[in-house]
Amino acid sequence: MDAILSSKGLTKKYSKFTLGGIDLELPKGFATALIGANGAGKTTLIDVLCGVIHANAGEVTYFGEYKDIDSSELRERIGYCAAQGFFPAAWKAKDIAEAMSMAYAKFDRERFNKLCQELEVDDENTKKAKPMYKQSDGNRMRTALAAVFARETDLLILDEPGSTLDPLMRDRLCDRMRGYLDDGNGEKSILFSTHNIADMENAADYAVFMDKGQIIEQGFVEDLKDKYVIVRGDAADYDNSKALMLSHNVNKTVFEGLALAAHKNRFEAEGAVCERPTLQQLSIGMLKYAEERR
Amino acid sequence: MKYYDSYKLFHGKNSIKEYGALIAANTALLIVGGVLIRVINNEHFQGFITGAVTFLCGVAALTVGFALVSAVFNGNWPESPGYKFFHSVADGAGHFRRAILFSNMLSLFPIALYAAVGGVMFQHFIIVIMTITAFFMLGLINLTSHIKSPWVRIGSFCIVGFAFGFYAGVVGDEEESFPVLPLNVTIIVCAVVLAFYIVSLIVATMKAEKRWNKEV
Amino acid sequence: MRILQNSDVPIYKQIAAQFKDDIMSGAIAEGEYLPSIRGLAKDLKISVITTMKAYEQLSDEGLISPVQGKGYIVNPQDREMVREQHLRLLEQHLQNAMESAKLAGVSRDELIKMITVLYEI
Repeated sequence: MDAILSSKGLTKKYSKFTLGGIDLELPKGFATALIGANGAGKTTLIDVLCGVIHANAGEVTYFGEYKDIDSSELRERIGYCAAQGFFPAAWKAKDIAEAMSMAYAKFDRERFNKLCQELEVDDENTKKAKPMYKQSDGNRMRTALAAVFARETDLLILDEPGSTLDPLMRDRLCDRMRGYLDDGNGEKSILFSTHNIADMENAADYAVFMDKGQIIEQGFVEDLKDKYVIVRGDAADYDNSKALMLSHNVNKTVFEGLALAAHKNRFEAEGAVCERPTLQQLSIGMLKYAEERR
Repeated sequence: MKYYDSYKLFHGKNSIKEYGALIAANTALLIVGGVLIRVINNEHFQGFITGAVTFLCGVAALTVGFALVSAVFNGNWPESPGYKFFHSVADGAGHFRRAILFSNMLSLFPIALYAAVGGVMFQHFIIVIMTITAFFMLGLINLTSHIKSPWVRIGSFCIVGFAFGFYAGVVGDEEESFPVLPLNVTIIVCAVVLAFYIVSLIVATMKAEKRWNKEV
Repeated sequence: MRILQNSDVPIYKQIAAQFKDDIMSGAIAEGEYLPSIRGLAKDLKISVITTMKAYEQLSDEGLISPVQGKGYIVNPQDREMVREQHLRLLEQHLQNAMESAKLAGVSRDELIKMITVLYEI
């Protein structure tokens, strides 16, 4: 596997929270989903990777060659977009276009305006365009996404791009992400974070699960779906199956849990049924497992 | 050009236009006011116009400077929207330093214009005071912008505002001593404030890159 | 291509099965390239890794081969094997036809006559 970005022992310490050490390998040509509960450290990790904040220890290698995020050549190749408040509150679309073309050589203004129209937000030519602070979270995100997709980049790093969007817009975002990967023909990659993977299942190729500043599992989605199973059975059989499950819950009728697919036969011998998890089910099972293990 | 680019990175597109319009309006106000007090020979009216116009223009010049310079400094506050954009741009620290310098220079322009046009049209003392206040405020922004607690900044502003108000009041009241006392004091104050401002600018630009990379 | 997103059959298996049918029936000829992995993912609105897994399965079965930088090419299929497959399919359909015939009380001769008529259309 070619890694587009890899990190070793990446650590960022705060008084009440520590990220790391993060060992990460993002596959080239794919979309990676960073999945975790609120406060798991997704934004901190993304901010460190994008050079918004600086790590206390560890190193990151980008595109197999760059080590220093401050290299302008590298910055030009990474398209980063923060979860909120990416642009100053007083800015309108034309301020964003002006600043973006100042900051990035490969920012295409025409494409930005077209994207703004497609995403149904103010563009540079909109009369009486509204500043950011007068717009909804969703519209601010759409404008920021238009700005980042209007650049020619090789790696997109998007922090919670779908969270503030309505289902229709999220669908369009997923289309655009798949289109980006298709345009790159294996050379372009995406990293995006989410605390709700349900609507973005079909845009994730590689999944990284985070909890309390640590990575608890990572792998290609199809491999992970083969590795784990969702187990369901009668509440009466719960006690026999409990020990083998990573996370589980039970009510007076049935139990459900996440387990390794390797144990499938043993559950079935106990009278339970197993199914291949969706990414959403897998996420819930993993995050629950992490929570119980703490 | 590089300095102007950095300035635009922090201010987007609109600011230059709005800022130009404000200066133009200010200058027009000063000139119209100056003409009016020469045409209409009524002491009360002249007093009113002089006070109102000089005050308005002074505040405007001050606000422009304040807005221009502090918008740049805001880019280094993690709490303000835009922080992550500015900090993900290549050579952000360099842009920050250049934008501070350029914004400062740009905000001196309305102050200078105000002092010059106002001085010619009104020959009133309050213009000097307002100009000096503007310089002092800018210097203060340059020096305090990195302090985390907003209260320190707001507090120092209040104290300065009060001090200058008091100074203006003293000068305004003692009309007899007007030509003697203020001239000496004012020259000293002018020199001190100017020196203070220049030092603040040097400190702000010299420390800009270090402050940019320091996380709060 | 028909994909059920919420089926019991994983999406990659559905894709693999349909390409297999197309290759077997000759709808996709040998030497042709399958759609690009990322292009197909985009059109089907599914993740890249899913189409990739489907192609890997087809590749494991020897139906297609990866070509560096060009995608997946359809391998020359063993004519005998293809014919064998078709024969098996034919047998199966005839079996079904016979069962229906028995249920409807259609005799052997009548069935053969029906097939002859249909064949000549």
